Amino acid sequence: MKILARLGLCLSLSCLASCAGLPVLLELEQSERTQLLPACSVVFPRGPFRVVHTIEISLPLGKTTSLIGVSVGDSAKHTVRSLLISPEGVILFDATQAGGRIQVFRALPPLDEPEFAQRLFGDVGHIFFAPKDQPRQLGRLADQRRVCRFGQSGRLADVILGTGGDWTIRSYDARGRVTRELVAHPPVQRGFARHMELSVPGVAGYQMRFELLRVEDPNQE
Amino acid sequence: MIKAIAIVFLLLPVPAAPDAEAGKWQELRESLRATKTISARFEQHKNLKILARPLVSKGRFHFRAPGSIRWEYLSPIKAISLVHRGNTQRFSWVAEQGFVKDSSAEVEAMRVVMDKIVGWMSGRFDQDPTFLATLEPGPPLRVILVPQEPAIAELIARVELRFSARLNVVAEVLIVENEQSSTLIRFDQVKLNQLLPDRLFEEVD
Repeated sequence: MKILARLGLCLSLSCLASCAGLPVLLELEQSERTQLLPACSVVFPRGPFRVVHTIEISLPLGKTTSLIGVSVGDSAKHTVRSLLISPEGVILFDATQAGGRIQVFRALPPLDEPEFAQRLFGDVGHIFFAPKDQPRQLGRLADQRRVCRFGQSGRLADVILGTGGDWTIRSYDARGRVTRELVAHPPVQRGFARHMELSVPGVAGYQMRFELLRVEDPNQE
Repeated sequence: MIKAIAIVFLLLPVPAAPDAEAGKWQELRESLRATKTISARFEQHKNLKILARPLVSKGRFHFRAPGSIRWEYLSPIKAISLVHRGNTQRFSWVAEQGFVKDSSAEVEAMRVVMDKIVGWMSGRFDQDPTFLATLEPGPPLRVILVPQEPAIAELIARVELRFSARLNVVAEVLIVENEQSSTLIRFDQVKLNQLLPDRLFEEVD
């Protein structure tokens, strides 16, 4: 009986901890609601894009590496080609994602593990692709930041607009735990933030710091 | 008719005689052997078909015969590879930490590349079975290196070393990966045969 009671307490605490991950949204005035939706969609590129970043990746056990990331895609179609290039100019990873299907052209070790491409395009989609559906909820956090909440139960994402021109895109799992968080800081060049940090929590979690190198006109030959 | 055929033959480019080619190889090797140290700036242009403009990286290069190299990228990402006394090290710049030594896997890949560069800088083109070297007299005189191992050929179609007029230093390196990607490294502010201390090849700072 004691064991069952302890188990119940553990489950309750576990539920409290996980459910606490999904922040409660406070009501907005109607005029604020009208302005918020277009503001939330501005954080994602519209249509075709071609962008280059330097990326500092911090992995578990203190391992850190720096690469150049090239992303060429179309956010309306949710298609993208992503390249990771070493400082020496070696293409370490080159793949596309279209219609949820990933095609890898090159993946040098250790980036040749099947999960790597899946994770990478999860990150790329989190940064560049607006949710396809309309938001299910608009609101405000206790710290006054405005939020568009997208998705369905179990796969929610918040676009959180800061007061200083910064924004956060946060994804949650079914238990309300954060699975990915991107924080983007101004200035913004042609819709792309100059600095971004992506965090993926967990035992195999990692952090990525992006510095915008350049945005190219997607129609330029 | 015979006269017409003779004229056609005269207009055709004449391949270099084997002796002439052997002479050029010898001249190149001797010029490179006379170069004991190199210090230069470099600009690396990574050309990708999917981008309108190349990705440009800048850095410094130091070489000291017989086998010491400092290959340093200054922008947009800082990274240093050091080769000295048979030991290869690679360092990446980490914000708030400075230069951090890379893991053994990355160093091993860099060691293979650096070994090739040391050989080429010293004029040892024909002692490496992984690349077949041919000479184009130019100018500029070029050595074309084509990988012979399938594993390397999958990554690199060819490497082209373009030499200075005096043949004592590599002026440009073109690495063609495939029709969609190539890398051109151009050296300038080249200084030859200056005294380069050990610490340049041992320490990152």
